[in-house]
Amino acid sequence: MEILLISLIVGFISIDTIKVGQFMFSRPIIVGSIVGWILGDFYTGLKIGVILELFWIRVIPVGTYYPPDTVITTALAITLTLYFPGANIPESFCIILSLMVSIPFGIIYKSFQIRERKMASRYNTLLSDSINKGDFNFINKLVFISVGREFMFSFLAFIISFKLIFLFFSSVQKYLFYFIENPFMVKGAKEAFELLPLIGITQLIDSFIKKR
Amino acid sequence: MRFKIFLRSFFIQTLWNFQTMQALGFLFVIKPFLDFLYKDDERKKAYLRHMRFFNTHPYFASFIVGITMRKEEEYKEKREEKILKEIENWKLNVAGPLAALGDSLIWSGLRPFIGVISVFLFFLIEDKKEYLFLVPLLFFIFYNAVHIFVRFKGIFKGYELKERIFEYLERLRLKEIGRYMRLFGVVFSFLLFLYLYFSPPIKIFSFINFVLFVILIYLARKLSVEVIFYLLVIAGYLIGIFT
Repeated sequence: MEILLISLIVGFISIDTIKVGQFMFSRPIIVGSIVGWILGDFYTGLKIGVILELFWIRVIPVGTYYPPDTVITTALAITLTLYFPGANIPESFCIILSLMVSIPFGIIYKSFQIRERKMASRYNTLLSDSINKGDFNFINKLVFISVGREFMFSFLAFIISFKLIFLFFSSVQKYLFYFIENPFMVKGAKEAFELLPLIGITQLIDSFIKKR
Repeated sequence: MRFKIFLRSFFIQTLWNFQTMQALGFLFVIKPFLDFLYKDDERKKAYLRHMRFFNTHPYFASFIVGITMRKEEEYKEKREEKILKEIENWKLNVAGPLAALGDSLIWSGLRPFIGVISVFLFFLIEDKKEYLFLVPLLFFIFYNAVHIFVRFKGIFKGYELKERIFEYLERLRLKEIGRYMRLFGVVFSFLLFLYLYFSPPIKIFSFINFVLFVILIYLARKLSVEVIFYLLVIAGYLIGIFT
């Protein structure tokens, strides 16, 4: 039930990325807080949101550029971290593994979104035909269809990806425990986790150097 | 009417496509105004006129919407073809500079600036869990205060000032504000770096992190952020082995 609720929220928030408003609900820091709060761990949700916010600090869908899907990636990373199969697993290990798995999904969905944008060009012909026929309200229907498609796509993309990854994790659980019980893996994950904010910090400094 | 247009301005990117970019969104925003001004064949012509290529910063597009509304009104009164030409030229010529202004003020200024401040705030109050709700809340409120102000003022000032809109924007010194926000964003990121990795007691890791910091700045323009993430995870494991 919780996953269904998260999927619905992912669907709604994804609309904000480009289609409606751009209020920045779709930024990881907000998605992280909302998903974490719903799953009963606001702190972990926000923490992952903050890491991903820094990570994609200079990334925004501008003009023809479409970045990896931040909403699905953040929601997946948090849900996987909090639903990780097995107990007593160090948090940093869960977060690193969840991020490693979630980021490729964000990139895959980005390519779907670009395809959707290409297909949206046919709206021009549809709209001009309807205007010529005297139907002036067809544009309202197009807006409704476009928003609905975005919602449905993100809703389904999240729920399917989560189920796939969760099934995969569950089936390789015993091998995962081999890694988790290895002190080197745990220490490595802790070190890697502490280094993550560096990515965003250097991205931001670089963007300033570039502008100058 | 203008308030209705302002509300619809949040949908300017809904019908974005590679052929005409924001043009259909622009038409959706201005639709009630065109419906109010024109009937039948004139309405059809007006709709088709606004379906031509258009693209600018989504927030600053409101200024062009405001100007277009005023110009369409003028056309309705005077019926001069040159006004229609002016509308078309304005939409094309003003879109570029406004997009540049929006990119520099909002995308490269305000958003990363508020982002980094919120992240810094998170690390500062991480132990006081009862106050952590302030982090996303402040991010959302401060960002949208500017965002909604730009959209709202855009419609009203564009309508009121028409061609003089650039004088108004010039007076607001938005480019300078954007530059300062970028600068402070970088200062805060550097402070965040010092806070996270150089807080006393300084250990050998701090120096390893400093080396990584320099390497990552170099890599930031060579590789995508996702590739850097996987490299950093490997680096973390290597540090884990050798220390």
